[in-house]
Order: sequence, then C-alpha cells, then structure tokens
Amino acid sequence: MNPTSDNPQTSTTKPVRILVAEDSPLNQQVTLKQLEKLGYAADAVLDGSQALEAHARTPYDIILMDCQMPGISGYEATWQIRNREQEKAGAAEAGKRVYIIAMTANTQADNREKCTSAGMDGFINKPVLLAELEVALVHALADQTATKEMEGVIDPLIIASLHQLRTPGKPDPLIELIDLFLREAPTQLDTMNDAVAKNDLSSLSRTISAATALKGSAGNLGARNLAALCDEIEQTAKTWMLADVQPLIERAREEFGRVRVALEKIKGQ
Amino acid sequence: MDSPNSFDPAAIERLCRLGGNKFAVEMIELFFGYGGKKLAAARESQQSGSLAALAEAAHPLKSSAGNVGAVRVQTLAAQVEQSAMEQKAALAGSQLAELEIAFAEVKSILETEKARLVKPPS
Repeated sequence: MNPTSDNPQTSTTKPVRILVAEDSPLNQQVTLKQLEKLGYAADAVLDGSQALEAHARTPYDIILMDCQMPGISGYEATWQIRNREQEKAGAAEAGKRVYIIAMTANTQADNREKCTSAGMDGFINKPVLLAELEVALVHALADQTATKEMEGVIDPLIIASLHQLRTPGKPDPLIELIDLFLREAPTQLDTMNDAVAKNDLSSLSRTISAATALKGSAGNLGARNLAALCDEIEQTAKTWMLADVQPLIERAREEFGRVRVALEKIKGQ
Repeated sequence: MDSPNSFDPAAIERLCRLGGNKFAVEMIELFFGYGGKKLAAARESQQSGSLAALAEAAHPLKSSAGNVGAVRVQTLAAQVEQSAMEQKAALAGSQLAELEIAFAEVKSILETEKARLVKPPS
C-alpha cells in the first residue's frame, strides 16, 4: 500500500513517539492529519517552551519542530534539548538522542546551516506536503535504526558533543581524534599481545601502560565496551595473571574491529 | 479579482484527500480566524513602528496561507516579512496594504470553496 495515496487512514498506529511543535493551529492540524494518514499518532504543542516541557516528560523518537515560534524559537528549543542530552550522557538515567526535523517556511539557503548548527537532523519546507513528510520520517527512522545498532559500540552522545567542537575554517577535531585513535589502537593491541607472550616483569608493565592508554582514548570517543575491556586487561595484568589477559586481548581486538567500522561510518557522514 | 496566481485550488483538493471535505472546511475556517488575527497584529505592529513584531506576525501567515492555496497572500506575507527584517518600513507598509487586499480577495474565493464542499451531492 502506498501510504501517500488516497487510502483511508491506516488502522494500526506505528510505535513511534512523535511530537509536533508548531504555533500555527492550521499548520499543526494539517501535520497531525498527515501523520495520522501515514499511521503515526503524535502529541502537539504550540511553542518552544511547551516543546521543552513535553521533551522532559516523554522520550520522543522524533520531534517535528517549527523554527520560528513565539517565545522560545525552534532553534533555541533544539539547542536546549541537545544540551540536556549531553548533560545526561554517561549518567545512569542517560536518555537517547531525539531526531529533530526542522519545519520551516524560511527558504533562504543559510537557514539549513542554522538548523544544523542548532542541532536539528532533518529539514522540511512549509507548507508540509504529505510525500515530503513521509520521506523525512523514513530518513529519521533509518537513521535511528543505524544509531541504535551503533549505540552498543559507540556512545552517540559523546560523538555529538565532539561534533560541537567544530570551528569553521579549522580541521574537524572529531575526525582528527578518530584518525589518531585508528592509527594508535592497533599498535597498542600489538604491544599488549607481544608483552603477554614474553611473560616477564617488563612485559607486565608494557601491557598495563598500553591498556591504560587505549582505555583512555577509547573512552574519549565513547567506545565504552572497548574501554571496559582495556580496564579489565589492566586490572588482570596488575594481579600478574598474564594467562588470563590473553583472551581479554582477543576480545578487545574483536571489539576494536566493531569500533573501527562504526568510526569509519561516522567519518563518512 | 481572481487573478491566475492568487489561489491554487490544488491545495484544497489536497486537504480533501487528506481528511475529507469536513476537514478541508475546518482548515479554511482556521485560516480565516488565525490569518485574520495575524493580519491585525501585523497592522498594529506597523502602526506602532515595530518592524520586528511586523515580521513576526507576517511569518506564520506565509506558511498557513500555503496550506489553503492562498498563493498571493503567501507571497505578500513573505515580502512583508523580508522588508520588515531589512528595516524597510515604507516598503513593508505598502506591501502590508496589498496583503490586506489579497487576504480579503482570497477569503471570498475560499468562501465559495467552502460552499461547494459542504453542498450535499445532487
């Protein structure tokens, strides 16, 4: 079935939590009806302040955010949501990153850059057409699936916070950090492997040093599993149980393979 | 009155396909109420010399108008917003006057559309 066709409303609602933040009641009603037609239920608010309250209450998957609303604009609300997400990164109650689609009647070329800088992920022109909304939602959901797959390997909130360190006209610090990590990590893993094979006191020290260094750089990039494995290697080596370290190094190598794939994807985005 | 570019009937057809005739009529009525309110706010802002408030009032008219096919209102609202943002008070004022006329014109067209949509099939 083509959901953009004239078929009656989809009978089952898709399990996606959507918030529409739009100050024009006409635009809001049209967007809600379009979502209903595409099989989504959604909550709606009339300004940026209400959007922030709703986001604090409900872990939405997607927010359709009008850029220019009275009071707190869509740009400002998005910026505050991203700050909240970063503050929670690593905390016990760490939430997920909501996908924010800008809805704007502002067609100026620099507006897209403004949306991206504020932390918005997608962009749709107003008045919103059903087919365009459907495409934007498909992109949002595909992106979230990819993010979920990657989340077990790399913490996306750490990557998002590193993204924000970018300065126009200067090299991207995230890319530099990834490149450095991908260059050094294999050497550190080899160092651990060779040292454990020699099984003497100086080898122990080299293993601990390499594991500590890799733990730090993996942690900086949000590779939590790899950092945890390096910590285990470090702690086990400190007890002189070098025989127990070898299988941990193998697991760290396998995890590094997954981290490398994820980081290469991030570099390509 | 009904210049070729002032109204796009395809927008009303889209609303009918989306939610039926009743929904399309409700959206037209919302446009009358919300659009009228924003237009009044724009005039008040222009008279008090607040160009920022004028731009803020014209902006939502732009996208709301697009949903009911009020093409000329959409275009003029965009022009008023732009002129107000560029601090061109006189130009924004004359464009606002045109916008008020265009709103009245499209209201009349949309009243006819409403009548057509609520008419029982013969």
